[in-house]
Amino acid sequence: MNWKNVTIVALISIPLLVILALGFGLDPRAVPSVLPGKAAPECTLRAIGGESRALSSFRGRPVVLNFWASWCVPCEAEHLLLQDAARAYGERVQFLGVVYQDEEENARRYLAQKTSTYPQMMDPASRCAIDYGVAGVPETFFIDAAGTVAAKEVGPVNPAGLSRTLGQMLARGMP
Amino acid sequence: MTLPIVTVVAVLLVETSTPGAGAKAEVTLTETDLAHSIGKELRCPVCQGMPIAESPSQMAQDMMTRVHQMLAEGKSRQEIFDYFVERYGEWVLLAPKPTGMNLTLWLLPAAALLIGLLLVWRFARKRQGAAPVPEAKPAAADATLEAIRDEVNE
Amino acid sequence: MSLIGRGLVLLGLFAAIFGIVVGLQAGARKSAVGLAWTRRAAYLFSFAMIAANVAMEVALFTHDFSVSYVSKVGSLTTPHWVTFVSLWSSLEGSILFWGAILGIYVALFTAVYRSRHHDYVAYALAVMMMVGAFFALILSAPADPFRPIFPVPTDGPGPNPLLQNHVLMALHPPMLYFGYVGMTVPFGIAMAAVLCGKLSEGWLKPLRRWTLLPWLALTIGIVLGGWWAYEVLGWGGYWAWDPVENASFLPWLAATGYLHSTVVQERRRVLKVWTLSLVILSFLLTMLGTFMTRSGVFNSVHAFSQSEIGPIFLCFIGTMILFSLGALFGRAHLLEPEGRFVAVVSRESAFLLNNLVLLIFTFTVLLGTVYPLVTEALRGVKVSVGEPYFDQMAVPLGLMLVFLMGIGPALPWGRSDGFRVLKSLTLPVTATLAVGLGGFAAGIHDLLPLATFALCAFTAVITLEELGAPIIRRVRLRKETPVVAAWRGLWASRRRAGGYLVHVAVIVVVAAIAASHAFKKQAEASLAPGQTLVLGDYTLVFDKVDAINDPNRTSVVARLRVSKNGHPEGAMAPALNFYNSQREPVGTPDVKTSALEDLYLSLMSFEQDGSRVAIKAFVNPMVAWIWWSLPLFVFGTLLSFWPERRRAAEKRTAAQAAT
Repeated sequence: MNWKNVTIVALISIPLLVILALGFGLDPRAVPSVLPGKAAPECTLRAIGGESRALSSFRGRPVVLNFWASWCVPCEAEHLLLQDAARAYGERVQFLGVVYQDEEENARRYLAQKTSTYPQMMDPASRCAIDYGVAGVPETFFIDAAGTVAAKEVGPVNPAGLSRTLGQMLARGMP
Repeated sequence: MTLPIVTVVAVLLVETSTPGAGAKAEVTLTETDLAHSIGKELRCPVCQGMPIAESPSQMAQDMMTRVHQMLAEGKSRQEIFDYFVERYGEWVLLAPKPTGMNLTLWLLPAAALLIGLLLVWRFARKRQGAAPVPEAKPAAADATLEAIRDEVNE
Repeated sequence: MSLIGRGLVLLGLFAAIFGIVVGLQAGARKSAVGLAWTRRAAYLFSFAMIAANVAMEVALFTHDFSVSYVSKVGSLTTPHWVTFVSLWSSLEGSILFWGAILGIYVALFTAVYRSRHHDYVAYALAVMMMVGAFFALILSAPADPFRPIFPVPTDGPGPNPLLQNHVLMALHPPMLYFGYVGMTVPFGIAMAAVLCGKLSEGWLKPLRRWTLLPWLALTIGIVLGGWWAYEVLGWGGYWAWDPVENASFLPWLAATGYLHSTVVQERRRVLKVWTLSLVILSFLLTMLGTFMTRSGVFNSVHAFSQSEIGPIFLCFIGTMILFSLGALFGRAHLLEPEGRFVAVVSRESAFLLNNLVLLIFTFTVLLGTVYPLVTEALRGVKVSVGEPYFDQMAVPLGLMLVFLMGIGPALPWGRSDGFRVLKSLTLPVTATLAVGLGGFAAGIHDLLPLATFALCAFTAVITLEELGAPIIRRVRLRKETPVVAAWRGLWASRRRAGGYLVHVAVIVVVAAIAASHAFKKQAEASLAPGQTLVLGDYTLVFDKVDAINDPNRTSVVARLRVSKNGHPEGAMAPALNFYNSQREPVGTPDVKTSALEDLYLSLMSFEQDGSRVAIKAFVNPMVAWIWWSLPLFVFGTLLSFWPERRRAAEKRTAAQAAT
């Protein structure tokens, strides 16, 4: 009878401990994205102080879609990195900034201090953010020339990852 | 015996507390209520485990707006769920889909209840003594005796 | 201050380790000298832990930012009460506070049993100090709150805004901690019984009473937690089955199971091992709860802190499981049951079923809480298990419990006379039908709330009959006045009566939860000044927006006038608070409570110029009864806790010996 009980308790407690132990390897805040590999969702964005434009109108070359906000601290360092990258890749890659959960005025002021070399768009009612499953900023999506989401980066992009992902996409783009 | 009970209650639950589940109920609901009941089952991505219908965050409110829009476009409850799952993954559903491995969530407790009932039954039978019972207290057959004992103790 | 604090923590660690070694030795050899030294170690541990907390409070109040914890949660601008509660507002401090509570419990326990139960006390203290040593160990390195930092900052960010926002935060966490930590004492008592290989009648009483205290604290903590969420989070609800809420509910369920199984154990002398297992389970679940709250494995509103102590915690939980199971199964044969059941349909069986349902409830909540980790580990897919699932499972289980709570007291101990039982059920069944049909006639057509209210009526009638019968007899036979009779009646059988009073409180809570779920109304609107929002009988007129500046925050307050059925009901002012340290605002909903319902207003957003506000309004029926049930919980538990007079206890023991 005792051994029966031991087995029962062991059967319940050991898996529990294993699961909790496994839990440490995982970041509770990281939600794996389901988008990579799928067609990039279409959405309409409005340039800051400008016209509305469909996201697909930027297509034809790889697109780096970066969601950011003026209140987001890690976005600040990332901003500089993306500006450099945009300059370096020039015409080969389209960089695109999308302002997430922020006032247009704040974004404008922020950009005025920092200069931006690529289009910065507002996202009315977070339509685009929802379509891309954004759960926080910064988040960056890499869309290849054919309009498929190739990769997603949660948190600020790092230079090495950026050049690797873009390198792969550009290589694939060349027939 | 308990499994049917659980099922019956579960069915009742679906019918009463999640009104959109049945096509019939959907008709009688106003759009706001329907949107709310959908929003109750979608997780707010920027909050911590809250449904979008209840979160005060801007993102959740924008997502609720999207739900309203889709309802206005004539989308069904399921289509709206699919839309969000496609973008955020299964994670966005607060009520996991009752398929595959997720079934363990319902089956394990039900099985445990059944086995437990069996064990309790066997225990009570086995311990049911024909032999004179050594008791901690004289077995009071009813409340009156018990009350009298209380008085005595006082 | 760093030096003093660290010294005290190390002293506590040393005392605890000394206590463990000496205590286990003294327990095994039944050595009186060893026991005396174990007691001294226990007192020293308590002193060190409490003094370390005093040191931290001094550091907080003197704004000594050279202490790492003060630099993390302190601030020159926070009000005094916030400074005081900062002690438990973040990880290291809360563990330190934890140590102080354990210190208080250990000291009390040692003092109470200074001259009784010598066989057990050494073991019990040794086991409690294992837990103490663990916490002191965490405090001495991985979560050291006293780490000196350099250069010394001139100011700090202040505690998490969610914690600063409501006074309940000064009460809810300590209560919960008193509950969590308190489970260490019954664990020690149970383990002492296991290690001694005997469980005498005398040792069962301390076990029950030392479980009642943390059980009560846990109950209060859980209810206050719901109240806090209701008053601060602004979504009109009080319970969201969030992992941290579940973590507090799990040990509560297990301990509730224990409090019932011990009744059977005392009466029938069966279920000894089972009863001890439930105590051990309750303790392990409190540890799991701490782990869930503090490790960052779970994502939750209440998980304020993420840290590196998770793995250590897990090792400790694993060790405690192995230790307690090993001891339990190594010695279980010594605790063989002596008693017997008399009949299958009996009060004992109702107790058994109650234990079963409570255990399944615990299991279900645990399963739902850890399931996302399982899928992520096995399938690599992240899923959520949220309110819809838990509601679905908790409702049938809860209703079963309510039913058992009613039918149990209606069944006699031992063999029952079917006819008598049926006869005694006439009134309750009538009440059930009356409430069911009455509710249906009154327009409640949803089956679940209807069933809940009917079952509550059933159980309430039986419980009140049980409570009332001795009182009525006193009035009739002894011609006492009702008040005197009520008091004496309750007092004479205080243990049972206290239990029934707690049952009444549970019924109130269940009914209030059912009502607030089933009949909740809500509306949402964007209002310009002068515009109105109508919700049920209420009409809300929005006047204007005010901004209030405090040193640590800026509050935006929407002013509204409320009228019900045309009668003015005064003003309401839901607010959003912006703290210096955080972007997302924290709300202060405004709640107008009446006996039957709450009007609950939440400010969702506003235009900077005050031209528009978005308001969410709820009518929550009966919600306040959940918090109002607390005095009854407290009174009932304390009544049940109050010891029998020695003389009565002796008389009873003599009576037992005679049979």
